[in-house]
Amino acid sequence: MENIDLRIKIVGIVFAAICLLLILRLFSWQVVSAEKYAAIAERQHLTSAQIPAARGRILSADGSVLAMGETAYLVYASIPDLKVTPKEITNKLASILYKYQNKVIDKPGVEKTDEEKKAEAQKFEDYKKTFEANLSQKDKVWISLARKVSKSDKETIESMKLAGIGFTPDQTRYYPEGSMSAQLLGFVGKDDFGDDKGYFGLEGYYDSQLKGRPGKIKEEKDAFGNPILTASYFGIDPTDGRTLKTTIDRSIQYTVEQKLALAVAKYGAKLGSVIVADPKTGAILAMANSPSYDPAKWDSYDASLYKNPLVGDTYEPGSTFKVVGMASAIDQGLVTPDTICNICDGPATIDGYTVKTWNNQYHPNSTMTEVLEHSDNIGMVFISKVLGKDKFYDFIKKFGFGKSTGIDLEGETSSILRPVGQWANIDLATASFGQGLAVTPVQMIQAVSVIANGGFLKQPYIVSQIIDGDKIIHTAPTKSQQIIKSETAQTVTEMMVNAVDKGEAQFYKPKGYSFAGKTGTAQIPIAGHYDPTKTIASFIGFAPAKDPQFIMLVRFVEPTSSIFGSETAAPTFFDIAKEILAIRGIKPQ
Amino acid sequence: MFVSLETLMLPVRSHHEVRVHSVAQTDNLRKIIIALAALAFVMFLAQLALSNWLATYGSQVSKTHASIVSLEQSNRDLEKEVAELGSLANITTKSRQAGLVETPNTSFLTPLPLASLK
Repeated sequence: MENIDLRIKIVGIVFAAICLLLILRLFSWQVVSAEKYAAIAERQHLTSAQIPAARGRILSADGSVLAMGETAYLVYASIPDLKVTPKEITNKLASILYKYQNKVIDKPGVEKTDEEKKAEAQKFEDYKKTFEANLSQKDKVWISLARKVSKSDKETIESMKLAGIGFTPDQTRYYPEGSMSAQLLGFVGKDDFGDDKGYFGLEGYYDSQLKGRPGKIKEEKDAFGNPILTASYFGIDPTDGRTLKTTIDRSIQYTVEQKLALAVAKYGAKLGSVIVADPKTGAILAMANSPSYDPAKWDSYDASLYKNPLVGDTYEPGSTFKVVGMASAIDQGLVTPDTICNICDGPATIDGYTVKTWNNQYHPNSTMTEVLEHSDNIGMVFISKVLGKDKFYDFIKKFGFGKSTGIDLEGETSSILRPVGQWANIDLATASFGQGLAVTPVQMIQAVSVIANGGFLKQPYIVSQIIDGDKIIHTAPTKSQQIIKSETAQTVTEMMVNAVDKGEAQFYKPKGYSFAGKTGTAQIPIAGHYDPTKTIASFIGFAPAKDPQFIMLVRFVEPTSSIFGSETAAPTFFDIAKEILAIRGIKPQ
Repeated sequence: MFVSLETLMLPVRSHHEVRVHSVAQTDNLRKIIIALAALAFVMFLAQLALSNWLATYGSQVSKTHASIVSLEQSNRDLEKEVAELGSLANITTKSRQAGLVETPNTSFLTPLPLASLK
């Protein structure tokens, strides 16, 4: 009996001890480490995810897409879930994903040398080694294999049914017209946090409008990953980016790019640029440069190509600037088209410098109309003397030089005009024929548009509407400022028509149309002097002269077939103009 | 004011009367308890069914969400296809394949004078 009592006591003690241990363990879980375990539990069933916002589209004037979002994927590997060896996965995936890491541009028709092929093969082998090494990292749980992978490549990988290889939806930028208007559009890269960010052109200028706002979702999920509807939920819907409707005429843009590329090759120029605008509104109809780049493969090109030279480069405009000086003098009533130049019989000497004409031919007693016709530098020196420094300076400022135009593109630059007090007589003389001062092509378009638009200055712009769902915001600038009298604009237009009809470019002009225009050939300053063999050749003009529908500037940097604007830029101008007349349905007068 | 003693006295019930009343009360109480138990059981079953339904409906929500994402992607893919087919580069290639050539010069025809009846 005593034995039984003892046994009961022992069982009771053991039972009590177990109970005490359990209580202690529970106390440890529930009280001492409660926060730690609650956090672990929350992490297991509470998921938080960011929902990316779709980047806005960029449309041409007719509503066609110039840039839009395209479905893409991030390919990742979940290391613990891999069922085959890293080597096997590398052999299957490396050849598909290689192009997303190393974007190689194959030039059509250009055969690669053996050395290039060898280097390329070595690069691929190095990539494979890194790929396999990444997959072999046992201490990692998740690794990214490639970003912005196309839908077709994703489907190919999916069909291989590789356990542990997964996809996360993403977006990439798609440009239906390829490299067309690349420097105008800009491109989408990454910021410091790995998020999409627009750079250069419209993508850069309107990045905050285009990128939208990502959404957020926080919800509890069950063991199968399905949401628990009765549990806590927090969500903010993503706001997609706004759509930009531009003033770009897709047909004109395409034509300009095709013709410009041919012309750059034909004249052996380092760079060719064309800008077409509506002089009455300031709307840019086309903007192109050659060489250019493909915005979808921007990282494969030299960074020097990203900048848009039409807004980001300054140059000495040469004789195209003469129309500005002439308009200023006529507007002040200091000269008329028939005023005689009494110093045009030979070179002019100013401050010890000798100023000559471009072809060293002189035309005594030329009228002002003939000064423009012959593109006579001495005639412009006469104008500058009549105007004087202060008036000339005031007018070039009024025409918009010395400050940026405010065009809605990232990377616009502007040269600073030296204060008039620092101008010597020779500075005034050279500025009158477009040397010794720097302008941007878009400033030239804005200034000559004043003459085409009856004396009114309009701000150039590209985006006419910002579309946010059903809401349309009109963004076209409405301000206009009268710079010169409408009669002056009319008179200078007639003088420019005469310059085309009787000048060097008369043979290229399409029959039946009246064009107002001016050629320009400016020497390039190198190390303090002008190199006579290197020029910037240009032509600026508008048509029809009586009711201008478009204004265009063609510019070649260092053409080699001929250094003159009349033999390079002018033929290209009229070649493109013929197409614009047809596209716009402008009939001959 | 004077109040009579009868008006203040409670009715006096016999022992038998009290017992009958107590049995009836117990019956009522039992009925209420049974009804409440039945209600609780029904509620329990309802909760069980609802919980089960909600648990499976979570997967339905997941499926619907996946469908939305898939449809949005399909929509984007179709938009891309439309843009690709409508691109000038594509139209130029297709028109060349169809034998169309660029015109070197554009001529505008002057409308012919119409014959008028007098």
